[in-house]
Amino acid sequence: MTSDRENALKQKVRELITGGDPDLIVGYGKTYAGDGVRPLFVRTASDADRLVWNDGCVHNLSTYLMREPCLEHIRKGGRVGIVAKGCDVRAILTLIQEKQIKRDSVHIIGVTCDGVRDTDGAEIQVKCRACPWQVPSVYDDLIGDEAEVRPIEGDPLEDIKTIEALPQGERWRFWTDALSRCIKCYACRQACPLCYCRECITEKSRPQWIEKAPSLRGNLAYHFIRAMHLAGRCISCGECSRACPVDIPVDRLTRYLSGTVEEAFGYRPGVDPDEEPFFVTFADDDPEDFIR
Amino acid sequence: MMTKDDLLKLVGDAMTKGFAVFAPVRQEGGLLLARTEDPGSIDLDHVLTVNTLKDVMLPRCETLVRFDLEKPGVTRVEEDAGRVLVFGSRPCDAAGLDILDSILIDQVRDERYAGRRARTVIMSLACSIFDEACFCASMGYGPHDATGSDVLVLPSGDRYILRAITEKGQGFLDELGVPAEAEAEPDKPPELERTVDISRIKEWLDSNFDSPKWKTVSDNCVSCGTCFYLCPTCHCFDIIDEAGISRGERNRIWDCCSFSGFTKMAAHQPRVGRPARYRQRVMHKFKYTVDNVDKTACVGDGRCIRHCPYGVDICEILNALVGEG
Ligand code: SF4
Ligand code: SF4
Ligand code: SF4
Ligand code: SF4
Repeated sequence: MTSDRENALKQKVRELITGGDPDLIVGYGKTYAGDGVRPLFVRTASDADRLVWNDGCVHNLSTYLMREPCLEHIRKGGRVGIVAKGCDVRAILTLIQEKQIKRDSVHIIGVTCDGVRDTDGAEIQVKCRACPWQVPSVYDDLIGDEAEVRPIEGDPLEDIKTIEALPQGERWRFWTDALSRCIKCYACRQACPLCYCRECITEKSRPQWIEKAPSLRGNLAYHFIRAMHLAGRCISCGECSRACPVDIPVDRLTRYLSGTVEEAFGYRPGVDPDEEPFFVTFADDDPEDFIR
Repeated sequence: MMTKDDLLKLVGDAMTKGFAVFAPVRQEGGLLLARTEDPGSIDLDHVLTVNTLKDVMLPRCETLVRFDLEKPGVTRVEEDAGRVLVFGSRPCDAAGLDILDSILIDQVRDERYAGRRARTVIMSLACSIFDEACFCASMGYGPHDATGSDVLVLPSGDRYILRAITEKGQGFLDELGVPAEAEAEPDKPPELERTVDISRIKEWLDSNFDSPKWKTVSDNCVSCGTCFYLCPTCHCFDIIDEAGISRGERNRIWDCCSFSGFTKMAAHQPRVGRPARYRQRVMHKFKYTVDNVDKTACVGDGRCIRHCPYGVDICEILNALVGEG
């Protein structure tokens, strides 16, 4: 199964890269040492032969779209290919909805997905439970057979519900404990495909808006702002938490707020590339019952 | 020779004598080198903690002065001057301190760092296990290396040998009543899997600031601060004022050259774009520090490899830079 998709993927990417459009494709390859998986930038047919596809393909590669070398390439009128799972496609579609890139600038090589894991032997990621995107919703090429996709069991919101169920004081303690560990390496922000601001408010010093220090106060400010900025935009790829070197589950904040927006407004980011993003629309009958 | 229990008892005795103890402790967030008051919490069966000794010597946030509009002048925030014991950190971490000493004591004297160094006893635990990211031997150190340690604890079967490396270390062992004894034979240090040849890198960097290789060599990097903040030798910092309406404080916090705002506080960011910023990382470690203090600012602990969310591998990059093509 897996190797079928890997072979099909190699072949497709080789074909595309040989054809010269797109001439830069981001996929997955092997780590330099060991058996891990990491992103691989494909520029030649021989690069394509080094592609892999397996359940270690956890990274959301669309985060590269908004940075060098992809962004440069797109700005010069080139097209970039991205190997994408269904959840990753949602990030690409959100970027399109937010007018950061044009649909034409990216060639989506969708792959059917059986769930991914962070490290060998780890459990399938929480985001994969009951995933509705095992077959990507939008793509230019599809690798894998739709008919062979088997649903993944489990509750994708279990981790959030566990915190929600805590009394307020304990919830606060959970977050202050977790966020006091934060070293402000900003890996969560850099990993996030939707944290693409050129200048992040948390790092501004003239004027300085929030405490820059990795103190508890500064950390709370950073993470609350980040969560607010991802409300109705976070597509639940979990990359922010995966990137965190000290295991802070920051995606629970952003996923929670996207859930809140969905509940209140029935809006889900990254589903339809032509839909207006949540933050730029207004309807007379928008509910206001969250204002108390 | 000591058993593991003897070792932990020794740490307990040091606590009784007033040492603040930092040691590897398993916590939410992984295995961290952290303050502990319970010798039983110390974990000795691991490769490396996530964070490094740098966290103890150059904390990620420290308050330098406080000010209050109601009162004239500023108040210098003095540090607790008590003694510190770091127990169970690894030889590569101690080697990192040796490099930081050259920069933060010998080259320019950073009083806070120097003060902490003088008050701290580093009791390293030599390694009997390693993982595929470890390459300390290639950097001129090794699993049993003593550089930067005051006391080196060497495994010998299921016992441990305590070897004083510095006068401070000997003084510490004397104070805790550890008897001098004829030294037994320690286990052989393990042979690491990963090796990298750095003999040509300095020369290459000297003349290849503008090499086209910089453009693609760090493709995978997303410019976070993980590899910098987990590095035992990265030491860039920023000084910021955090103030309320009438009171505030001046803090020193970590900073790193992969951030787009790096050095903007001085003038501007001269390293525009990720390739230039990743080049800064390599240049600083393998050229500038060598030029300045005659040491390479990398100890081969491999944390940057282990923890990079996108699989960037410094050894691969060093090889690619000096290699053909
Ligand atoms: S969330 Fe869905 S598409 Fe994404 S990795 Fe998991 S199973 Fe695959
Ligand atoms: S906030 Fe986290 S989970 Fe949400 S899109 Fe960004 S990286 Fe993915
Ligand atoms: S990745 Fe983790 S440690 Fe780094 S800034 Fe984000 S939450 Fe903090
Ligand atoms: S090399 Fe990896 S850990 Fe270092 S800044 Fe780049 S992405 Fe972050």
